[in-house]
This record gives sequence, C-alpha cells and structure tokens, in this order.
Amino acid sequence: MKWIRWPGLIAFVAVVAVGLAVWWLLVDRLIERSVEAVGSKLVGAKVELGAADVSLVPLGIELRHLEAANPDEPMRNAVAAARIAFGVDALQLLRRKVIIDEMTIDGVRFNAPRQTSGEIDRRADQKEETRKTAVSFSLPALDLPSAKDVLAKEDLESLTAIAAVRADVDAGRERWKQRVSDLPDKAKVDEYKRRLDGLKASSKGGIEGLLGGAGEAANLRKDAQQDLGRIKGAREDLARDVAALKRRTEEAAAAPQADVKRLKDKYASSSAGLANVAGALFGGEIGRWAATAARWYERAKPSLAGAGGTGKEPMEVTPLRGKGVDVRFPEHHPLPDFLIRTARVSVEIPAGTLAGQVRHITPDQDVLGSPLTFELTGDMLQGLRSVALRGEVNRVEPAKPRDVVTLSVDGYRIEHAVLSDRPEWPVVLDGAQASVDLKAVIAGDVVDGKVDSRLSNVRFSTGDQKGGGRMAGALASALADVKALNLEATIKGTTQNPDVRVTSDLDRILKDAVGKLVAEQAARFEADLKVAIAERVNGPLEDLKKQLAGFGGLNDELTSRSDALSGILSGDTLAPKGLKLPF
Amino acid sequence: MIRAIIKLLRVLNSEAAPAQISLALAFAMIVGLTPLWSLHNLAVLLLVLVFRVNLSAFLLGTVFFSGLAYLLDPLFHRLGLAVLTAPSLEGLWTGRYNSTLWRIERFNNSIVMGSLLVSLALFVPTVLALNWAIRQYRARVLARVKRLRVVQALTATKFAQMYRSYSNLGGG
Repeated sequence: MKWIRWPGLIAFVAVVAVGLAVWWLLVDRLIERSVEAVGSKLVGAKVELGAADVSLVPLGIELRHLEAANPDEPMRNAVAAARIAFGVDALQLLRRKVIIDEMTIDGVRFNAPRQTSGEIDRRADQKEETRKTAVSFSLPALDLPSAKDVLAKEDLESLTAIAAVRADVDAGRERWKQRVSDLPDKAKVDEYKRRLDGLKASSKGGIEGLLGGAGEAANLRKDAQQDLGRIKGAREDLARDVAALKRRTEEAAAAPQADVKRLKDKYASSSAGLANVAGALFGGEIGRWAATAARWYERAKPSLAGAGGTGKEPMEVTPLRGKGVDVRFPEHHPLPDFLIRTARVSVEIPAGTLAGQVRHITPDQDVLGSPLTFELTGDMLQGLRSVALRGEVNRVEPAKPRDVVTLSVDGYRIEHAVLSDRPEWPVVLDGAQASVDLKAVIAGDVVDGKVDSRLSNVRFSTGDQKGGGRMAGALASALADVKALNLEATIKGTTQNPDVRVTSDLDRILKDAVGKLVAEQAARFEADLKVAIAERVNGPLEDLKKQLAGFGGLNDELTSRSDALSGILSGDTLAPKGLKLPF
Repeated sequence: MIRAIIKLLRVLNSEAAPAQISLALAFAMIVGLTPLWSLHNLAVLLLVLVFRVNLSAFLLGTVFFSGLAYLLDPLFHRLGLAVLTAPSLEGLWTGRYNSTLWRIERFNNSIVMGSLLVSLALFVPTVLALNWAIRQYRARVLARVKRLRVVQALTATKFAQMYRSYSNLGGG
C-alpha cells in the first residue's frame, strides 16, 4: 500500500486557500462587529461603525464613520470620527501584538446629535451621577423671620445654663443648711456660758477651788476653740462655694448675648453670606464639566490599567472561562500587546478645527516605559483666539498613576450663557470675552485642579425677578455695573466625587452692593432678638440671683455663732474677776 | 447519531488497513483535543491529507474528541499551567516565547499546552491500541455484527445508501 497521496498536498493548498478567501471576504464585517461590540461594552452606549476596510499590502485598516453614543444623553454622540486609518506591523501581529506606528483620526466631533437613541443599558448609577451635578442655589433673603417665630422653634442655651446654675444653688443651699445645723449653735454657746459661770463660782472657794477651776477653764477654752475653728472653717468653705456660684451666675447672665449672636448668625443674611454667589452662578457649569470629565476618566481607566506585565518575569493573565490563561514570559525586546505610537487627530468644534497628536496609546505603559501624551491646539478660530490642550497620562509605574492636563483658552467669546434660571433671580451672561487657564493633576484617585479665568467686556442681564425680594433687586443692579471679573475654581476630592469651589471678585462687588442693606436688616433682627430673649430669660435669672442671695442668711448665722464663741473665749468673760487665767 | 454509527461501522468494515484508521483517529485526537485554531492543527491537516489515512475516521474522530475536550479542558488547563510555570522550564519557554512561530502556536496558553501534551503523549499508544483493537474486531466480531438485524436494518436505510454513494465518490 502506498502511504503518500500527493493529491493531498493540492487538497491542503486548496483548503488553506479557501480558508483565506473566506477570511478575506468576512474580515471587514468581522472588524466592524468587533469594534461595535467592544466599543459598546467599554462606553456603555451604542458604538456604530459605518464601514471597515482592510488592506493586505501594506497591512492596514480604515474605519469610516465611527460614532460612540453618550450613555448619559443617548440622543447625542459622545464622540464621532469621520475617518480612522492606520497601518499595522504584520510581523508583530503574528506575535499577537497590535503595533501601530501612525494613526490618522480625522473629523472628530464631540456631543453631536444622533438620529436614533444610542442607549443600550442605562445604569442607575449614571442617573444618580447626573442628578448630583445639578447645583442647588437659593438667594440670600433680606426678609427675615420675626424674633418671636425664631424663638418658638429654637431652644435657648441661656435658659438651660440658668436652670443648671439654679439647680446647683438649690442643692448647695440644702447642703449648707445641713452642715450649719451640725455646727455648734446657741445651745452650745449657752452650755459654755453655764460652764463658765460654774468656774466663776468655784474660784470663790479658796485656794483648792481656784486650782481646780484653772484646770476646768483650760478644758473649756480648748473645747470652745475647737468649735470656733469648725465654724470658721465652714465660713471659709461657704465663702468659696458662694463665690463659685456667683461666677456661674454671672456667666449665665451673659449667655443671652451668646444666644443672640448664634441666632443672628443662623437667620440673618450677612454680607459674608454672599460669598458663594459667584460659586452658585458659575460653579454649576464648572461642576458639570468636572463631573462629566471625571465620569469619562473613570470609564477610560480600565483601558489604561493594562495587563500589568512588566515583561521581566512570567505571569498569569486572568483567564476567560474555558479559554485557559496565557502565561507571559520575559521578552528580549519588550513591547506592549497594543500600541499606537502616534495618532494624529483633527477635532471639529463649533469654532473650527483643532489639530494635534496623541502619543504612546497603550494599556501597558510599564512595558513601553513612556507615558501617553496628548496635545491639541487651534489658532484664530471663530469666536476663539487660541486654544491649547496638553496632558499626560502616566501609568509607567502602575502603583503610582499620575495624570496631568493643562488647558489654555484665549479670547473665547461667550454669548447668552444662562447662569441661573431660577424665577426669583434669573441671570444670563449676555456676552463676555474669556481667557481660561486650567491645570489639573490626578494622582491615584485624588484630584487637584485649578482654573483661572478672566472675563472682560462682561454684560449681565437679570430679567424680571419674581419673588426675589429686595436682595434680588440689589444684586441685579450690582451685576448690571460689572464689566470685568476674575474667576477662580479649585477642584479637589476624588475622581468619583470631585468637589468644585469657585471664588470670584464678583463676590466682593456684590457684597459691597448689598452689604449696607444686609447690615441694617441684621441689626434690626438682632435688636428684636435681644428684647425677645430678655423677656424669656430675665425672670429665671432674677430668681436665680435671689436664691443666691439666700446664702447671705447662712453666712450671718455662722458669723453670729462665731462672734458668740469668740466672746466666751475673750479674757474679759472667761477670767474670774481679780484672777488672771494662765492662758 | 445514526449517521455517525453507520460511518463508524462502514469505516471499520471497509478494506482500509487498520493503521490507516488508527492513525487517522490519533491525528483526530490531536485536532479534537486541542483548540481548533492552532498552528499545529494546520500541520496535522497537511499530514492527514498527504498521508493515506482514512479521512472518514479522521472527521468522525475529530468530532468525538472535540466533544471530549469540553470535559477535559479543566484538566488540560491545570496540566498546561503547571508545565508553563515550572521553574526548571522557564528558560525553555522564555526562548520559545521570543520566537514568532511559537507565539503563533500559542504554546503559552495553558489549555493549548496541556491538551497538546496529552494528545502527543497518547498519540503512539493510541495508534498501537487501535491497531490491535481493529484487528481483533475484524477477526472476531465483524461477521457477527454483520448478521445483526439492527445493523442490517440500519445499512438498508436511505441514509446509509446515500452515505455509501457519497463515500464512494470521496474514497476513503
């Protein structure tokens, strides 16, 4: 039997050729489907591709009309590109590495409307994020509540303090009554007097009586001195207690002033309360930009994280189920699995076209050793003198990710920007010329950003305020005079929850404009509060003082007993007539 | 299923040499147990077409072993991973990893490595065992099988006739 069948070789060639032909026929559609499927998964909304065209020599791909819907606004495209063309390194492709030396991306547009919805799976957390960006702002009111209304719903700390002192005064008085009752009283003094009289009588009984009386007199004096010492000690303790209670009573008497200040700060608008007006007007828009940027950053983060292989030691890559795992080994010339060395980009914005490039696009920066950098610039555009966006996404050390973005905008013409659509204070920036400098650094999840902007040729309009009161009128008048302003915004916190703070010299302008109005209103409110609080506090306070005065009676009692004992101890009373006692 | 049984019986009962059938099944084992789109399977296809092995047996075997592979994949994964991460073999695999041909082969995939090792290790024993089994079948069982009513009924069906005519066209 012959073991070789040469026609089999022809069959093999035919099978391979048929396989290649089928692949060639289907590859365009396969690429289209792959781009749409992977893109939709990454973006969270529909990604659609008009056409894909693969060329073999040189190996390259051209994608046309790529559109990625915005998951937050499904009727708009987050980004769209008219044409993406690139060549692929065929040899590296055989090694399962997609290496693109140069890519051209033309006609990139952001936020363009769509014909059909791009929604695929609207997630609850995204809805929540959108809600969070809405800024709540209420105009400080000049029409304050009445002092009585305020006191009806507020607890007075002064009343609490007076009640506490009063309780201590009552307890102290009871304690002292008990202590005074335990001290030598009138009966004791009378007893001393009787003993003294006895001594005097014994001194008339000759020399024996005189000698016996001397011993008894010494005992009497000793006992009286001990009792006198106890009374004096009690008087000193009483004086100390009374002094402490007096001090606390004085503090309680001062507490109503603290209540007045606290309630005034809480309810009365002050010029300091206007410090956030600029933040309220501009912070919403800046906050929305920051939140949108943060959201897209979070979405892009997994693509930037990479497989994490440094190419220096074997490592496992997390497997797909049933697909096994690919074990990586060190490479002599390490290259990422995916790399676009340079992507030349042209972006179409309403003002014109921006051009620039993105370098080192790869999820494996640690293997490449270089960060992703981008630059996009435009000059002499419509309503925009110049714009430059530059930045770096650095994952060279995956454990220390650090991204930097700078944006410089000059001569940007703003027209009809609605800053507040609240009926009580509608504010529209009718026109302005803006220059903006932004720098943001994201280290890990922590954001540290700053925006400096200068607006000139400013024109505000405030329309008809409905229910805004005198405050809205005063602010509207002040805004009408503003011709230029500086705006500073800081962005701190985390990428999941950026915190935007806006400050501006607009705050000072508005503060000056309405400051006097606010101060007058606050002074009136303070005076009313003082009267209303005094009405509620004066009674308990007077009562407290009276109770404290009750300690004076105890002191008098102790003084009386002390004097009586001192009288007994004095030589005139204790020594028999004509006899000098030996003490 | 009926078609597969008929095919199997026809192959076994044919005039093909036992070695043609056993070799075809052993090649089918490689193709079936390892992931289909692997470079080595192209080489196996070339060998199957150039060597005069039984193509019907090869196709039948490929289907059978592909089904078996689904059950054995976890085993292949563990074996492949153990081999690929063995410290003593790191130098060998690193060298292969830097070769384009080996990268196309995807040897560094745990299932490719595990299944290829198993199928290669079983290749020669499979050929020998099947050779012996086919000879034993033809010597002792074939005559009795042909007399079975169920076999006669099956071989008399339209499917069997169609298959015979189709098979005669393609050779074996």
